Amino acid sequence: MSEAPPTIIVVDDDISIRESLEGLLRSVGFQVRLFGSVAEFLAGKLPEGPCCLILDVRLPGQSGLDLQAELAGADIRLPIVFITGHGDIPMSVRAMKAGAVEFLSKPFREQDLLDALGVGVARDRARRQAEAAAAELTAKFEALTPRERQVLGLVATGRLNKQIAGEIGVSEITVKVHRGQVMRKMGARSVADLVRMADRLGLAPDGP
Amino acid sequence: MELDGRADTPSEDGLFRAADGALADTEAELRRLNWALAAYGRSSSALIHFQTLDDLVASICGAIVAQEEYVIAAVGLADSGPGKPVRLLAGAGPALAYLDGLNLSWDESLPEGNGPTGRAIRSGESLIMRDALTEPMFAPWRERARPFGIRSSVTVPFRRDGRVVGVILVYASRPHAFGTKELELFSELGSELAFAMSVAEDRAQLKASEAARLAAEDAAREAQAELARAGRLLSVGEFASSIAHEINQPVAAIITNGDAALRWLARDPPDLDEVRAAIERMSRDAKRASGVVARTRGLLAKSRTDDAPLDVNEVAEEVLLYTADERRRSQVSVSTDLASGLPLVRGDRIQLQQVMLNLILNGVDAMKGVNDRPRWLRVRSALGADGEVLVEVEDCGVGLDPATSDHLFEHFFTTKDGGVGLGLPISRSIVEAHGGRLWAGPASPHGAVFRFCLPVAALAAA
Ligand SMILES: Nc1ncnc2c1ncn2[C@@H]1O[C@H](COP(=O)(O)OP(=O)(O)O)[C@@H](O)[C@H]1O
Ligand SMILES: [Mg+2]
Repeated sequence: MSEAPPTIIVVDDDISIRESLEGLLRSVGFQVRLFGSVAEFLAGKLPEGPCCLILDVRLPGQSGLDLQAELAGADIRLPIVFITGHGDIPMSVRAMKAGAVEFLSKPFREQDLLDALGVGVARDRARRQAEAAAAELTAKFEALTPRERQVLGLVATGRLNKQIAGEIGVSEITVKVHRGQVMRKMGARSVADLVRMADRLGLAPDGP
Repeated sequence: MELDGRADTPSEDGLFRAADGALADTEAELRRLNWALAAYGRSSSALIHFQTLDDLVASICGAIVAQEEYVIAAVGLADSGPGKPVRLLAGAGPALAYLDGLNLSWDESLPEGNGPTGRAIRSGESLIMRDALTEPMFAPWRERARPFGIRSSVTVPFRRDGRVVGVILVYASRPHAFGTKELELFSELGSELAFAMSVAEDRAQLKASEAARLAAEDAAREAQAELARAGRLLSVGEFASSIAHEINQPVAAIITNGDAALRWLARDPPDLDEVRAAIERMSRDAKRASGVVARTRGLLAKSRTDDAPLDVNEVAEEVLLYTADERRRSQVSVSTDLASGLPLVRGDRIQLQQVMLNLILNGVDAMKGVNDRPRWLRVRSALGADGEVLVEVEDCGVGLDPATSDHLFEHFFTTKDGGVGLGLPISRSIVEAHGGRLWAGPASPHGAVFRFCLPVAALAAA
């Protein structure tokens, strides 16, 4: 678990706000990236580790809410904490409905901001872990031979070795060998474990 | 019955055959007449309701080929460009493919310009090709037409302003399919079509001029907004909220920097370089905030920055222009009753504009909740009893609330969501700095009226 510290990305057109946030966020151990506009932010690369976005609602050019919609459209699921100097209630409603973590008016209480960032980072980390686990599982599945995939599919539907042997026209011994290989390659601890994996892989429960 | 009798009778002598033919002719005639009426009827409804010329032509062609023996109906326009091509606008019918890739022209010097179409356009006369198998004029197309079963055709030119502009082409699967009746019908359709073309052009022109008008309106609105910006005529609400924002930003930054400095200090060991950096930022941001305050004070200073002779009517008209957009959005109509020949007053044009702007926007605001009567605003100027100049802004809005009307001119008194409560107190102090008075009263039956008076130039200058 020696993961790099989470990164907070700040997009605000006011340099005083940007720099003050940088000082505060570094003091609590975050990595920080600052951007003065949405365009600058979009031109850069997203950090590797878990992160959260602090976004000013009203920005020259493209607004924070526009960016939120754009990111959602591009399926980039960054948690967003909005900050605003205007206390716009209708905007805050819109932002929260669109999935923002929090909507804070400047000046905000330090603890409110840090709490919101904590939630955002945790969300992002969980999403990344889920994605990584899914990717790993898929990779393992792809390392199976076609025969092994077929056997996995049938095991997942609860067929016995004998039934499987009959169904695919090999001996029961061969089925056992395939099944052992599948368990090993998938890193499954038990048949139940294997069935769960098959489920997550979206192998149809009622057989191939 | 007659038919039965006819079938029983030997027809060697040809007598019956002749009668037979005559009868068939009458039937065919009737059918054709019916069809013609229907085609014309269908076309004329298209002629009345058409959206685009292409649609219209397509539906006319469709109506013509509803008659089974007509295998193509098409409309072409005579182009005067090189080679004088005939451009097909639309066509219909089972044999329409016959026209695909066919070069139609009305150029006499070209072989393809000497078929029925070319000749009809040049002469302006309808042309009937009676039988595709024998008509010499049709020889160049005979082989091409055979597989399509085309046996005869008619080409009917139509004119606009006396000039032939196009043709209606109709092909039939039977020789001798066209007679005077058909010619009449098609010429009729041709002249309707020519008329529809000019209607379509008029419409296009109308559309273009409508677009131009909208563009001009946009430009005017833009110019007006620009004017408002240039005059830096912000309503007090906008002004106050932009100042609040200007101050709030550095203040928010200072608070966050303070939080950060404390955290760096609380580390073990404390990171003094970071603490110093945070304090430097705090000091910079504090200067920024106090700069905003200083500038605001300058703007709001009671001293009149300018002292020029002014016509209050002009000032009122300028502000009405600035607020045109807002009034349109809020659906408020304005009437003015500006006295002519008023003496000039002395003062600061921008500040007096501010006063009127505040009063007008308040009036507009007061009518936002009014939906059961027209929303109107009246701006009046007059000469007062003591020779002063009087200005009135009256609305038919919700009116003054007797419970709070004593507080209207207090700083930060507001009854609006998002109100600031500075418009009236600032307006009053501006008017008083000009040696005048500002007060409010009820209007009847609805609304409020705000009045201010200003001393005339000679008095103010004295
Ligand atoms: N034309 C009007 N009709 C009714 N009430 C008015 C009118 N103009 C002002 N008021 C009242 O006076 C208050 C103060 O007005 P003002 O000082 O311009 O501040 P604001 O417009 O920000 O509320 C308003 O909130 C409203 O209650
Ligand atoms: Mg006001």
